[in-house]
Formats: sequence, C-alpha cells, structure tokens
Amino acid sequence: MRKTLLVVERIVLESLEVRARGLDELTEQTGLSGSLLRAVLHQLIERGMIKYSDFSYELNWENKENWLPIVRDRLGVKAEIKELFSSLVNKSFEDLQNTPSQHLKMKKIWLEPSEQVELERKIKDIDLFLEGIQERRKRKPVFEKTCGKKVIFYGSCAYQDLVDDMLKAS
Amino acid sequence: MSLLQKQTLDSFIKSVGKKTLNDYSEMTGIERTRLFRLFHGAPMKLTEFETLQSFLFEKGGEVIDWKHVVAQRQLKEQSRDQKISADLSIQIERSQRLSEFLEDLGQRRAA
Repeated sequence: MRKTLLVVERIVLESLEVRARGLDELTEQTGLSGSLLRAVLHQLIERGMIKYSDFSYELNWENKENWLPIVRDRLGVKAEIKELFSSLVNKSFEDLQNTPSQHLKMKKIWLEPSEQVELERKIKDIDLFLEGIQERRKRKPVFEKTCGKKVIFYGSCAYQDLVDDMLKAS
Repeated sequence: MSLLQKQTLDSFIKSVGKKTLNDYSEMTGIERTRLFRLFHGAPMKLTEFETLQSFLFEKGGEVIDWKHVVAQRQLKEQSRDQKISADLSIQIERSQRLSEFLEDLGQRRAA
C-alpha cells in the first residue's frame, strides 16, 4: 500500500513550496526539532520528493509525477484532516478545568430556512475574506512562517448525517 | 426490518392498495395480529415470505427478486467493510510511520 503523507512531512513540503531552504531556516519555518526534521528530510529524499544541493533543500520538481499523486491522495488528505482536527479538539480541552478554550466552538442548532441561507452567506463571506488574503499575498508577499499559519476548519452537517456515519463505521 | 422483508411488504401493499389488516389477513391467510407484527418489524418467516411472493405472482404484482436483494446487501456490506478497512489500514500505517520517526529520535538521543 502506498505510503500517505504525514503531517510532519507535509509541513516541510509546504515550507519548500515557497523556495529552497537551508536546515536552520527549515527548523524555524516548521517548528520541528532538529533531529525530527532531519529524519523527515531523509525520508522525503528517499521518496524522491525533495533533493539536497548547495546546503539547501528543495522540492524535486523533475520527479513530480511520482510524488504529486501522494501529496494529493484523497485518503491521505482525509487522514491528515482527521488528525489535525483531533489535535484541535485535544488542545481545546487541555486547559481550564474541562472548559473548552477559545480554540474551538461547536454548536448544535436548529435553523429555519432563512437562517440557513444567512449562515451560508456568512460562511461564503469568510471564504471570500480568506481567499482575498491569499490573493493579496501573491501580489504583495509578507514574511510567513509555515508553522505559524492558522489552521481554520469550518463546515456544517445535519446532526443525523453525522450520527449515521458513525453508526455505519461501527 | 430487513430490506427483503420491507420490499416484500411494500410490494404487497402497492399491489392491493391500502386496506385494513383484516382485509390483508383474508387475502393472504396470515393472521391479523401476525401481520401487525410483521409491519412493525418482527422478522418474517420463510413460509410467510413464500405466501406473499405467491400472492404477488398470482395477482400480477411485483415479485421480489430475493437473490438480487441479497447480493445487493452483500455488496453494500463488502464496500462498507472495505471502506472501514481502508481507513483503518491508513490510520495504522500513519501511526506506525510516525512512531518509527519518534523511535529513531529516541535511539539517537540515547546513543
């Protein structure tokens, strides 16, 4: 079975997507400890995803047909999202005597049709806001730290559909 | 209620229309109280299934292709099991690889 991309591997690739970087810069960008980062880099070189030259690591674009499908693999991405979300839930519950912190909010709420429409409009606004930022960055880049990016989840689903999915899996 | 039972009862009602349990009982020879239980999820006996299938056949109603229904259910369960297996295998693979990274780290620090 093809290996999927781990979160620690993806953060390195995301950092190198911008440009080639040396080890110190990658340490700063990814927030990974020196030895873990070296282990991850070694793996990524073995898999032909990155290469090392002139004291820098960079994405191995000559070999992209072999590794891009791994990066985009749906099941791999699904597993990563589950892991990231699980970490968000853990972080939200780890402080303040079982009171969820400001990290995560979840609401179960009955919406009338007009309220559903308004919610979808507001979510669309958030989408446009974030897409606007991404467009601005392309025209006017700022210093970015890969590990400092905000991971934002949003989405909603009917309660029953979530329960049904959990039941299907058991 | 199994899919086969539901389809059989639905086909029966579609064929004869909405009537009272007494009417259904007279048509099929199945006791009224037993019909009530069947409609409310009690497992159908094979003899009852045969009775209803014969009734549907004689009256020109939609006879249930039970082999097809059973095969569909098997496919659905296989696909669900495969999906669960795929998700689970991926979780295990990822967990193992991450542990290997961290174990390597531990060993290097110890050395």
